Amino acid sequence: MEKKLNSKTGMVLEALVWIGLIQVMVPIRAYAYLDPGTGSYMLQVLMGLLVGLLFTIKTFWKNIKSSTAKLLKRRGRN
Amino acid sequence: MKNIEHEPSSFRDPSGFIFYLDGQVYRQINKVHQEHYDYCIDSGLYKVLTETGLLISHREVDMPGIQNKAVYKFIQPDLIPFISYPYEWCFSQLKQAALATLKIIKISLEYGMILSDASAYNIQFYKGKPVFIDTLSLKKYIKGEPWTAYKQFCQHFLAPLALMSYTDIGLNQLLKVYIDGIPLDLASALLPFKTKVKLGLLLHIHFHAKSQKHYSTKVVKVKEHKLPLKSLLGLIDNIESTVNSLKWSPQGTEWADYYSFTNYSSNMMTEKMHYVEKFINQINPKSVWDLGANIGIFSRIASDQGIQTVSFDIDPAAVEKNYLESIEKGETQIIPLLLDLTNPSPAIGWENNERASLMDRGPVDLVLALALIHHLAISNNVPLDKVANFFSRICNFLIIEFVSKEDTQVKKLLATREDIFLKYIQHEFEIEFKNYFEILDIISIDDSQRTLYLMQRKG
Repeated sequence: MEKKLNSKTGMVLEALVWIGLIQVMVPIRAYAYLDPGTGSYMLQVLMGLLVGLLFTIKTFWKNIKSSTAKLLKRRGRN
Repeated sequence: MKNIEHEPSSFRDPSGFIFYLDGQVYRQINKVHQEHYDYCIDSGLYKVLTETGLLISHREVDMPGIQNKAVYKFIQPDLIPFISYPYEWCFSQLKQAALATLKIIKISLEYGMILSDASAYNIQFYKGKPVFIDTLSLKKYIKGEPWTAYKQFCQHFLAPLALMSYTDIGLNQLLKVYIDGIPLDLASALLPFKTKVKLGLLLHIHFHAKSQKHYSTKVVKVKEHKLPLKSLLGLIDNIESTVNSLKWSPQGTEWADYYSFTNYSSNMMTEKMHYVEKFINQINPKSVWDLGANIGIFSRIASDQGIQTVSFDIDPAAVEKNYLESIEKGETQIIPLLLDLTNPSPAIGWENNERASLMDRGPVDLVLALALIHHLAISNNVPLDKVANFFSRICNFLIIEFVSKEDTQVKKLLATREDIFLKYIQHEFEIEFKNYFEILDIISIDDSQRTLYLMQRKG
């Protein structure tokens, strides 16, 4: 069940990321010359919001977890 | 002006270069890098990174004999005894090297610096740990600037790791062909579809390859596009999670279970180990290469005595097991590495001179060639004269085991083919090796068809 959910979540995430990427890719001004690093540079900018958000959520969860663990520890001692 | 020898791979970064003098390694730091170097030292970053073993230590030195206009300072980093390359590493070595690189970036960002490149060649295995050796890659972080080494990291680390994990463990050998890492469009094409539902691999390999293709014919004023620090930290964190999620377990390969079905009884094994140890003590070498080391049982006779030992094998599973054991035991003197002796690592890169061949990294004091010669002479059809010549080029002392045709392992090799190896007999073996070596000792292993030789190169 958990696996199914993970796979579904992955598919939805993939679709969302694709939609986001295509939308953001379109308005960039294009001139004709080759720069092999540009794709890597721009991908970082494009997914900046997503990875930044994931990182914030992760940090938030970590903080909640550690606070809860501390609280439970304190209660256990009392 | 003293005669310095430039490191042939150290020419791309204008910040400085590596050179050798009187058997020691030095790095020239150019004035253009002064601001970054001073900041790295003054901010305390250098201290933190070296104390945690992530960055190679160095000391600043005066070199009055070799001053030039560009120089700001000279430093003398610790000397790495044996340089290895990513195509010689097993899965976990590459993974640990990737994680060490990411850890350095995370710590550097806390100090306002970043790694300006993420080449796998900047990592070496030293004292049992992956250590970053290019001090000049640490540069001051410019607010809003994306990570310039993102592409390089994905090509050097993420793509080979993903391919080894999901497609085939042998695909790290692509790094021999692609010196600047595996092209992401190739990695994307070789990875199975299921990697597209893994967010990290989808973003950093598949989308990355598409993005490179999309922008390959376009020019974008990249400076207008910024990446906030929070997003950069998110990017590094996401790559780290992706690397951590990649796994590979050795199972069912040729050699990983060798010792469980070898025809050596435990008594014979003990006897063989006893004589190998006796020979090693007799020679007292500074460095050892164990060729065909399997999981490193004999290598450890040397490395446990503090002798710097490289433990080579052709089987990725054996090298993986060997490496994991070295980590578990906290060993500092053994480096397990992948090597196909019939086609050893070549010299590659610019002018065939950036990454040294195996032969160029020798000779070594002592080579162990145990249960190996039949694979070279029979499986690979190399005449004994050529085998002897090869060993004479890579070592001063040799402990070699002759395995006769009566041995069951050799019988297996000959079971499906015509025996064209008329000269593969002990007497001929001795004649051929005596052309290059002096035989110092001969020991027959009781109840086996095997004989141990201790030899010293002539001349």
